[in-house]
Amino acid sequence: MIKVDASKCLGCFSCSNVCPNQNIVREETQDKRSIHWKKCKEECDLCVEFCPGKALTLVPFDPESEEPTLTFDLVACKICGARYATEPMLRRIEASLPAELQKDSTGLSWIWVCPVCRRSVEAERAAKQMVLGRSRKNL
Amino acid sequence: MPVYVDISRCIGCRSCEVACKRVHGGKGHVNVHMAGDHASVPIFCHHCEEATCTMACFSGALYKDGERTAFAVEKCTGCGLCRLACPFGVVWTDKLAHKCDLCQGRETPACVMTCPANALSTDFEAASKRARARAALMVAHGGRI
Repeated sequence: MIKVDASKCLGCFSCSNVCPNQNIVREETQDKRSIHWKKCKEECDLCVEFCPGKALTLVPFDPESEEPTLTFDLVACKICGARYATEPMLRRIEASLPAELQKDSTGLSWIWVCPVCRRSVEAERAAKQMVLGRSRKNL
Repeated sequence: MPVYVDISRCIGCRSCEVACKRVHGGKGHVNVHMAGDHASVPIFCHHCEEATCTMACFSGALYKDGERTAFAVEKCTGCGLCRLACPFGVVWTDKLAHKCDLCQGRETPACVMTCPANALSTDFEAASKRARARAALMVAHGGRI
């Protein structure tokens, strides 16, 4: 059976992806994500091994215990407002990257911007340079 | 050896997007963005030297292989950290992660082969020479850069 340390869980989908028996059920709505660990009697520990937050441990089967569920509010993109990730995941990324890589050349903290807007920001910047170059050429 | 893009040549036809999807089983890794009516910009994986996706990957599925940022699908757990760790939004998680692999096994990436406008290349020297020539021309004509 799986025990979850709520303070360490990132709210990613690693465990539910690697579980061979679909004992870890995930649900995502527009602004929330929840993960539900069913009681399992298996001896397998794939989810424990592949948890990036080391939040899971294997404990002896106990029919009395409740099945844990964790719910995460999804963080809204600073630009478009779309909900795109759980806060612990973004905090984890902040912790794993050197500070100088966390801001782009314009000072934007890109970690708090959704991937769709990150692509748009990059495209707009590149386009601006090019259009500027073209107008100079016509001088 | 990433793919170098000459935006001023891009005609926004999205042929690179289609080529990428064709060789990657329907999952593309290129996104052509339109900036109003003035410009189109294909957004690619930069194969960053200091690749933040590899720093965030806990299972070792994303790693640097020379200049390439490579991906070992068998190690991926689909956690989605890499998708959130890419500053350009060019790593996707779709149960498992997927990103530009520079078309491993092909001599030239499919997008580069396909681009009808010659906007894409893998030749750093040629791409940088063209950019330098253009900058020099601008200085000569406009005096401002």
